[in-house]
Amino acid sequence: MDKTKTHSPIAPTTALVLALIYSTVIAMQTHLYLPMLFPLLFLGWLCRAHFVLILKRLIVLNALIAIVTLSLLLQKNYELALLIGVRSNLILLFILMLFHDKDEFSIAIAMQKLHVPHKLTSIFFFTAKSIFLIKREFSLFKNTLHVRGFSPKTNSLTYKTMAGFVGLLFIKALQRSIFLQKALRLRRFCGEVYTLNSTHTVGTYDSILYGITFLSLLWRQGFLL
Amino acid sequence: MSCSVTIKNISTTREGVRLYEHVMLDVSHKEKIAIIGPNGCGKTTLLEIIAGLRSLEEGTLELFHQPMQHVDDFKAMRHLIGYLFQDSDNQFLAPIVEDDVAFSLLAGGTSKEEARLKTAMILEDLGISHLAKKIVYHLSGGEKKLVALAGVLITEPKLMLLDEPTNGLDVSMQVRLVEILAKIDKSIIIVSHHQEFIESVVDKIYTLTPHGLVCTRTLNTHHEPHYHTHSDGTCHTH
Repeated sequence: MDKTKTHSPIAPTTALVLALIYSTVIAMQTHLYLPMLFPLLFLGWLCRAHFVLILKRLIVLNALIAIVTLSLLLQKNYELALLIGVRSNLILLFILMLFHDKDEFSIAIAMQKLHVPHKLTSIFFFTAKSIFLIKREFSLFKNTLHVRGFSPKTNSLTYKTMAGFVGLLFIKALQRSIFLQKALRLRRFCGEVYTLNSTHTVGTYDSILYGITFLSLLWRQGFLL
Repeated sequence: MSCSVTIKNISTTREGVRLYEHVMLDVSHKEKIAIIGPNGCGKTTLLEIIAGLRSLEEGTLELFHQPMQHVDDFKAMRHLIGYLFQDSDNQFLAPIVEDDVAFSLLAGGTSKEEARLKTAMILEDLGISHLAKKIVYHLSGGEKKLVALAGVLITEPKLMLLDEPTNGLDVSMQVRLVEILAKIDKSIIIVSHHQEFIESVVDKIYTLTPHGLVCTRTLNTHHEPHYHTHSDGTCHTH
């Protein structure tokens, strides 16, 4: 979640609803059709300015998918490996394009609007906020290593440093989460998040995306896989 | 004497080591005090006990004449206590400045219209109206501190606990903070190492020792300025 952008053509409520529908339907498909790409094309056009960044993230996430597909390839189950690979990438790309410009705050507000139970919203908000803080600590640590002249090699110093790095990251993460818990208590957090602005209204792009997504999931033409 | 905070015989241990014992403190309404002491002596821990972020191990604590024994006792008092974190980043819960400042108000049940109005007023008072729509993580250290302070002041707490408020602030920002705190008519407890700053703000200075709090200085309520502003706008301390 990029902290630099908080406004998006797609409302967070739309993003949550469509991510759930699209990923559930696609995950259950045994055959994929060409129209299933249409929502991705539309979203790709909407977030064309950040498309390279999104693709980079998709490539990183593919490292995890590769483990699953490789295990299937080793069992010579090629069709299933391909199906899982394509399905996972469709879902991931859809979700990445929907959420790349949304912060945890706007998503939590969208969850409240959709009447998701408060406890679930709180857990999401707390987790997302902690991940963001840990990510910042990770960047700080990386900078510290660079500044102190560390360059990774295949020696014991590197392994020790990396082990210390991971250990310190855990400690920092714990400290940050304790501070976050304190801030939530002090600032009277009671399971809800608030905003003064109503920037999450459903607009034209949302309606178009709803239409394209539903149509693409129902239109069984142009066999893809 | 009417007190905001009354502490009797508080003792605290950290990892089995006793930090301090027999801490006694009375903070009157609208009194401003500072707690100083060497690093690691437990100043922040004491502040966290007063804020209800830590349980009492020994002794008693009263806030506005109400005994506080358990963390749950603080729930009803939460709106009366404002706490400024040492690192402002730990305090932010919303990405946009105005949302973050208004957070505690909205969480307390204030309407959006009233919260918006109060947020605009507090940002105006602190001279940071231009930051209202900015993202908190993109602000400078001084700006973050003022935004965090706005988030504390907006609930109009009767007791303010400030943990190292001058951390990372340049002299001109420190002067601004002194001016802001001087105008605030509330009980304030400051934990700081910054001598000039606390002498410009508080009425009394206490030193935290392993055997309790010792009042080391009582200052005039009419504080002598420790910061001077030149005609060109630059500042220096003495």
